[in-house]
Amino acid sequence: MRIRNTGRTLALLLLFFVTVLLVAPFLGREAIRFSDIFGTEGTTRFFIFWTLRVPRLVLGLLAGASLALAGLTFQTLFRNPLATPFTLGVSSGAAFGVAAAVLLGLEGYLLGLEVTPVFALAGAGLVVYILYRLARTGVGLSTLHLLLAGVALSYFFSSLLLFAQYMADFTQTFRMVHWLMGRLETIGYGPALMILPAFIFGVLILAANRRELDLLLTGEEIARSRGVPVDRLRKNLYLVASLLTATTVAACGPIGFVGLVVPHIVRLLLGVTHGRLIVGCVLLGGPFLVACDAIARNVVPETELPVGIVTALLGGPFFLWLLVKRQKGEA
Amino acid sequence: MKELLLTRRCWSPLVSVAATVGVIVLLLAGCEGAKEAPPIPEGALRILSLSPNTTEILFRLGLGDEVVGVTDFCRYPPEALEKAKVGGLLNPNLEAMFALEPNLVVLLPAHEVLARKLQSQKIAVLAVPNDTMADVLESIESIGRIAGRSERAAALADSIRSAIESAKKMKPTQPWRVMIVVDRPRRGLAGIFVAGPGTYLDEVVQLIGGTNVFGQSLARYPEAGIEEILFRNPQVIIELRPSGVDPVEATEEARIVWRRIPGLSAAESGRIYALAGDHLVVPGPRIGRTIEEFSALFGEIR
Repeated sequence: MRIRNTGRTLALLLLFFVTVLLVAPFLGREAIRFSDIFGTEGTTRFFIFWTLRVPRLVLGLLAGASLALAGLTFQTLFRNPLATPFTLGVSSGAAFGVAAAVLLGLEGYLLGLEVTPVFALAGAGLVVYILYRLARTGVGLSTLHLLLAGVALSYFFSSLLLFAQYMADFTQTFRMVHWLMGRLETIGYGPALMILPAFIFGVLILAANRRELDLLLTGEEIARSRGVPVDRLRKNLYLVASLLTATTVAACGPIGFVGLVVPHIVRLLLGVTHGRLIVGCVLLGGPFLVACDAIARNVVPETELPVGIVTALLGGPFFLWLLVKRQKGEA
Repeated sequence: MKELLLTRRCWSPLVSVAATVGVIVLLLAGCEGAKEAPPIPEGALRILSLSPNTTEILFRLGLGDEVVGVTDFCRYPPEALEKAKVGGLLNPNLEAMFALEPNLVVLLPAHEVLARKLQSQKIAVLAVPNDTMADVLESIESIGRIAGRSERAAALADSIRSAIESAKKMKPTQPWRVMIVVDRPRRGLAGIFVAGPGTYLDEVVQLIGGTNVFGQSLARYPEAGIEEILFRNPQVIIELRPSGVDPVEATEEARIVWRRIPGLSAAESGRIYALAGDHLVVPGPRIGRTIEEFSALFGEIR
């Protein structure tokens, strides 16, 4: 029964992916016609389509997929359904980096690089590094200790962020809060290119370890008895998921909910085998975020809502509906 | 059956939440009527100013010696920097305020919660709005009234009114469609905040015969996305920069950055300008100067 459904479900996910891909860039304030996108370079509509909307679409696809994959990895690593890409403080570190950039008046460009994402990446990297060192030397690589240390670090950097916000000028605080909402607005492919290498690397590593991930989910002892080098695997998974999260947060801010719920939706649809889950997260995570963004851009015509506001508003009820429906089906 | 039970259980917390919200709304509505003019304090004035614009007004009315404390963001006039600091809008230090023993606190309507705390300790509080030009005039006059400087206040208000009148007479070469940028990261085009409706900058643009392209908007200082800016397509962009920025350099930088967007009327015609100075974003007594600078700029736009 399940197996027969999987093919159909994957086909539906693919259809969703393609539909979103084709529809999203045509939605927006300025109506874009087919003739516009093959029109002459330098016209406003050509610019809106190819420099604003298509890069935004690509960024959304990469960010959504990366967050879903990172969430999936953390949920398996900690065998905890509540784990998200942000559980271990990566986003808190990034947010603190951004706050530092704002406070130091360093927004804009420095040596040809946009400053905010660089600071965000540095902040996220700092948290990942501290936790990694802690795990290697102090608290050990035990899953529980890693989780607890990560949550503690997360709170620590959140407090630093609150401190920075409190000390900042009104307008600076405003900018920090705006960044925290997460957004996909972009001019050109810069932010997408920032995520792309981490995304490719992450997908490859996770796909190569899909069987080990399955075993890890059943229990560390079982995995060990089947010859899985559990400690090394955990270390690698932690680094891969952190890399996916850090680059995404640096490029778009901490967009919530995608990393928590997309893996669960995929699990409900495709079962618990990681080979399928990885494909499902890529096929659903990206288009889900892009669809949310399309709504965020169009629901209030005056202004573009940050996508982070819409993800949970839209995804939450859908997830609850799916959860109830599945439970009824199983009962 | 299971579902029915679930539904019933869900209702009771919902009802109690609704009831709580209702009570809070009623309480707030009840408090709204409690506003009244504060009594004039007796004896020598010890004034605490909780906003840069009120600090400017107080010093302009010759009350500099009576001011005992200001916010961290009060940088004008320079004498204000020597006063005791009590934090800012978001991080007020209540203890520092009480330590200064003020008998009059001048603040904004946004300080309402703080105002109640001060009033509970029998400290006179004057809340003055600061969004529009009428607000600025009202602030000047009500501060003058409560601090016994009515004549100077009237003179100051009149000088601003005459600046408004002469700006009205000056008609621009065209009724330009204008966008006022209040914040944009250097060399970047993300995170652009503009002046929207209900702001004195919106009024200034109208006063000198222009139209603010963001005059219709949900927020007073909305964040403007590139697509939205292209949709509203301003013919003139005026960027406001803080004191210490060279307006010539800032104008050059702005022209280079905005030229990245094809089809933007202001960028194509080069009608992009930067004005520098903190007075541009402080709706205080220097608003007359802001109006004059905008008028002068508009006179030059061809």
